[in-house]
Amino acid sequence: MALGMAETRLYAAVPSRVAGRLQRWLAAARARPSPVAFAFAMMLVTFALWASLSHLPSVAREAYDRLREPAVPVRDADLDPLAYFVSTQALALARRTIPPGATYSIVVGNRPSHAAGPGVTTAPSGVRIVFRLWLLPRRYTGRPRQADWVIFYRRPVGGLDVRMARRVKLGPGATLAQVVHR
Amino acid sequence: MSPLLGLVAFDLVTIACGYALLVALGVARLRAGDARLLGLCYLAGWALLGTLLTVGLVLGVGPQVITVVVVAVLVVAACALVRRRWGAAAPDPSERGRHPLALAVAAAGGFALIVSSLAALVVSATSEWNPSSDWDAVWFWIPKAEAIYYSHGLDAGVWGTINHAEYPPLLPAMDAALFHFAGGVHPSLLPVQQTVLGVAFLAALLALIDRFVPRWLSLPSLAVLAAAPWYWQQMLSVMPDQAIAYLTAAAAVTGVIWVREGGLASLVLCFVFLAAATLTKLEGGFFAVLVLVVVLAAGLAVRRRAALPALALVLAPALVVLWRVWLSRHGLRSANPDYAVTDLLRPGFLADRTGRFTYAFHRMVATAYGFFDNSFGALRSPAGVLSSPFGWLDSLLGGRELLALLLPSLLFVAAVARRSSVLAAAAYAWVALAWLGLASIYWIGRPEVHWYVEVTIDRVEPTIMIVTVALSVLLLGLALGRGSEFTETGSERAR
Repeated sequence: MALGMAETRLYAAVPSRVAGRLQRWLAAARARPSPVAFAFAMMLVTFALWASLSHLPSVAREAYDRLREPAVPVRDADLDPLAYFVSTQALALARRTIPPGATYSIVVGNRPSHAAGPGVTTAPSGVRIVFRLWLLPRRYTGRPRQADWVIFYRRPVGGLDVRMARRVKLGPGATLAQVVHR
Repeated sequence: MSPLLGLVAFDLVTIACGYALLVALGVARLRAGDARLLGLCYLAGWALLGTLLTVGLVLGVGPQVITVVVVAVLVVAACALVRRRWGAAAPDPSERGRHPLALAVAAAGGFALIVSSLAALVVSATSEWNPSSDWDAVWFWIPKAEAIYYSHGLDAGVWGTINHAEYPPLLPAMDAALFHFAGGVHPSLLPVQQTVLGVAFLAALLALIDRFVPRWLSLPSLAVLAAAPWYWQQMLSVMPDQAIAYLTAAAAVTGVIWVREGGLASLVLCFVFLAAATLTKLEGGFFAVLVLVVVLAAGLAVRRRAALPALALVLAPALVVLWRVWLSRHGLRSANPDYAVTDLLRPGFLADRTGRFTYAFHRMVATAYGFFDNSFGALRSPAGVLSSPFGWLDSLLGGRELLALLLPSLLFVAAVARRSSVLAAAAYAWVALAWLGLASIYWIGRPEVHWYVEVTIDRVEPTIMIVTVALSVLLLGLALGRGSEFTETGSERAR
């Protein structure tokens, strides 16, 4: 192993026999496991075991509690978490009504909705993001006039310069309208 | 086929790819004992399959079931051919100490690791996904996977309408492949898939460092990671950041192992992990390039001309060029709108925003401290008499979190540097560069800094933490071992 600058100076300053012994001693010390590393490892293992075993009861209890709950079908598990942001009934009906590949737009009002519980209103951008997630491969457009369908969410139908052929009630405060293109 | 069976089938294909790769590299030996490599098989298979499917996507091939199966068959056939023609030798398993205390500590650590991992799998499989904590996933990651699923590939018209179109598509490609196996778009399967990846990473790390680190050290160290609330929470996330952390850590560990002992197996695995990290997200590319630079520098310093084959690692991050070409061919932006790296070359711009750097640096220190304190937080007694080691040190130092992190780090460097000075320097160069790089992104970022740090730091900084933990355990194990810092492979010795 190459000598460091300090070690080279040290060997130059002492008689060769002593330097040889010192060099052999250092090489042997390097080949031995480091006592500092061993002490550090012991400390780390003690803390790590203590911490991980202390976390175990809560971790295991959570898993056990989940196992005791009734299983949720995958399709419900996909949709239910979105209820915090948007009415899942509106999402499901919109997906059933708008054909894949059609274009749609969403206009969102400020009227409160109870999708996320009383007093919680998802911002219009959040409503659009959740609808866009759920309605793919239907194509979203920000221009209602160019869309085949328009979702009126938390606002009354109308107020746009478009002719509507058909209206489908998606739930409280949500209506889907099919646009007639001139 | 039920969606859950589809997930199992997809994961079996992933494991088959990884196992074939490990057999070709001589890491696996086609024996029952290879079961200990299951985690590494999964992680390597996920990285390899993800990289190939991403390249396929860019070339116009979608990740349908038939495509995934054909790719897997080709991978297995190619690996079998490599094994027959070149047949690399498997590394010898190291001898293990049989001290009763060491066995007891390893057993306790292994028990904690297994219970935590199984609990994570159960929770992810039985609970609903959480869009609130993974809002970016709802906003653009899952829609990208849906777009690939429905378009049977990349449709630039749809892709361009989804936010952050510039991010490479490895994770959406893998999610879309999973949707094809599951028979439909099922976002609720994604947390299960991510948890499988997280558990596989822990098992992979154990398999990678097993020859160098005694199990009485590795098992408790991995158990504390698996049981830590912050890691647990990240493991269930459907965002790509955790996958980047796994891939970067695996690349760093295999890179350091290559610097220490040479050999093609570590180099190839490092390549696969680097490529996958790069194709997962722009941040993954940044961390991967840092791993590449550090491993090449250490390799050239130690192995001189024998390190030249490692220059092939440059091709791994370079794979992102394919993605950039696809973006530019379709007129889509390839840079992140949140920052421009060239701003780092504008001194005036940087000088005007030093407040952003100092704020981000402070928050990064506080977050890192929080991760460690959170990991050891279970040590706190109800009366607050006992505290986590970091909490105790922090209060002793009068609330100086930076010192509470630096002091144990310096003690650690002193512990490992005597035996593994070059490797320790390489490892901590990566940590320092990653830390500085992340703070620099916040420095030059365009969004308001408080908001920017707030919404990203808990996702991005764990990569640095996880790589630090992985490398630290490896270096500590090397410091405890016998023999010299570096070894030669058979081929190098023959020269």
